[in-house]
Amino acid sequence: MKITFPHLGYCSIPLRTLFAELGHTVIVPPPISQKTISLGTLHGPEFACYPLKLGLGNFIEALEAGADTLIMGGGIGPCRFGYYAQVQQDILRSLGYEFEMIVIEPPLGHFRQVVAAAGRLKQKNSWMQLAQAASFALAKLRACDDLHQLSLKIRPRVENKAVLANLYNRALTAIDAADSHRTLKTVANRFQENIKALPQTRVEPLKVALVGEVYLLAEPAANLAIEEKLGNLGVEVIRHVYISSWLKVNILLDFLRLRRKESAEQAARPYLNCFVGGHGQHSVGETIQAVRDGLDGVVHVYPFTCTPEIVARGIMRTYAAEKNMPLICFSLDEHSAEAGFNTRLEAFVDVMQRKNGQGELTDEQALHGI
Amino acid sequence: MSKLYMGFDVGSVSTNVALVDQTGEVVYTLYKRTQGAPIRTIKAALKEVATEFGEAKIAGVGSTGSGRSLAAVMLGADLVKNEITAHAVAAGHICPGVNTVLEIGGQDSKLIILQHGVVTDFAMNSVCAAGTGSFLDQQAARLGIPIEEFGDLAEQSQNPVRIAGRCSVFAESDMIHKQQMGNDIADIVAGLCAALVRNYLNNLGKGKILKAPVVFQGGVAANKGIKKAFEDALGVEVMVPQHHGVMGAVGSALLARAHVADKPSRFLGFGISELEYASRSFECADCPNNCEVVELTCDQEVVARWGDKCGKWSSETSARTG
Repeated sequence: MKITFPHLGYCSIPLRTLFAELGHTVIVPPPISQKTISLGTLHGPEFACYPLKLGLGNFIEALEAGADTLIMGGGIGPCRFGYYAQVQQDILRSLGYEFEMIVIEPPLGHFRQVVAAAGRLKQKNSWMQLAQAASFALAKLRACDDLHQLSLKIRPRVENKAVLANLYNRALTAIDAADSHRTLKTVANRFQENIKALPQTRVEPLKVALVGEVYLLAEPAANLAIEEKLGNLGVEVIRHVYISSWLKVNILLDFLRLRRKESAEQAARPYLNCFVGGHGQHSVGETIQAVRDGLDGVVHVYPFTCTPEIVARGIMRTYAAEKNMPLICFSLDEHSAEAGFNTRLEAFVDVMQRKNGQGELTDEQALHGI
Repeated sequence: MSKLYMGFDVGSVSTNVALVDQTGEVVYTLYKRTQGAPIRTIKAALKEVATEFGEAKIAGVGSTGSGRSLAAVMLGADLVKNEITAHAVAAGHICPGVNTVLEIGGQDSKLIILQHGVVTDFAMNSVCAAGTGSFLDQQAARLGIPIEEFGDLAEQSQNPVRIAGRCSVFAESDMIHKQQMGNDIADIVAGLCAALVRNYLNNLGKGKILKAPVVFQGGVAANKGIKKAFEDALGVEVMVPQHHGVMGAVGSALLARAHVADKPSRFLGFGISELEYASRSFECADCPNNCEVVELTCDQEVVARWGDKCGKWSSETSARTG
């Protein structure tokens, strides 16, 4: 099988590892470019959300590169993501592509389907070998998440942002290339140390919680590199939703029926006490936690037309206004204009700074930050 | 002559310049149409300033507006600021204690909420462009009414017609429909003003409490019809400052004044209006991002590049501004 999957930030690294360990040929789609966006929006329904269109673009580019098996996530509940695999499959077939699509459903309530999909993917490998490959892939995912978290913390403080960006990219490449737990650990540690050793300013940055829908949080091509922009403006981004944590909540905790114990969902409960799909409840909960933790602001990103996040937004706006917490919401899709986005982001940083009584942005940040 | 601080607001429709003195008093303003050629307009504007203030000491320069980075590189600005902050600073300086700033410019509309002189919240039009100066301009031209008389005409109306104002395309087709039905032109114009204000408040004002004092600025603030429509909708008096059309430039000059303090300015001098600036764009093919890179040259020498995600091109030329 020539396997491919849609991009989601750096998730191609663990996914490539997982399938390559099982002996498949893996065709990673080209990074999301203007061409990917054009392909996805040309063939995707206009009012479907951005993740469907970008994923569709990824699939088309991968099919063109020779892939014959598409892996896609499934789902149930109020978020439309659950039926995107089916919609994408129909669109791709209507375009004349021949392929097989394997949909990974959430294990709760679809246990048999999950086992069947895993059985197909493991081929002649034993279940033990599948578990080993999965554990190695998870280790890579965690290494990427840790590295990313470090970069968010360091970026506002580092003097030379271009050097950090370069190190970060090289680290991802090295993690991707690691062929054993041992080399993975070595390269991950080495890059962590190198990044920590970069010259830093002593100024304590503003801290902002980045909340919202998981795809828009994790995919820089979709969120117009919001984390990097905030970091370059001198703001530390605090994000709790990571792919590894998402897997934990949506796959493991859900399956073990422990989901309701999750802290962000608990925090949200006085204001939003039911599951509204996607990360709606998380966004509310994390806004409440951001106020509690004394952060300087909350940035909310979600795909245009995303129902769970729109439900959350109404609650977040009222709550943030009550608590005098700066909040800005970005609903993004292929029509998002970067100039206006940058202006709003800069102005938002000014709002936080002025509220905080701190000075303005340095001209260096203002000139080259964005 | 005392020190002066110069603010440049390079917008989509107009390029404005304001000079403030050390006390923050506005001593000079200039309003010029950008006409899609910011480089040429910046140079021409600078030339006009030079004829009046050739000998004056420019102690600081700020730039704002959608062309702020371009202006900063060309002028050697000391401070580059987004237009939201620049407008808030100007409004707070000219009308101390202001709580709400309504700003309607050429392409963008902004709503800024302040508390004790500090911006606490803001919004900018996102989904559509209705309620902006360009649209009013276009409608005035279509109806054959000089834009200066547009507001007066609206004031004459006794029963404004209701115009659909969600988006400028629909607003225009609804206006045409009302015209074909035989409605009075003054009533249509007044209805358009009300529709734009309704659209503005629905899009930007969502859930925000708009407290007096309210300041209305931007080029559109000259339009009495829109000012009246705002007063009717908000139920409070709306103030239009004297320099309403160039408040972004005023704010930018004030910010430059605060930023520069006693440091020497990086201003490159009035002589730059004689230099040959040119820009070109190309697609970088070094990685799959295929970024569109814009390159600004001054007398054939590259002075700035923008648009690359990785910083490969832009980092090479930061000497002039950094």
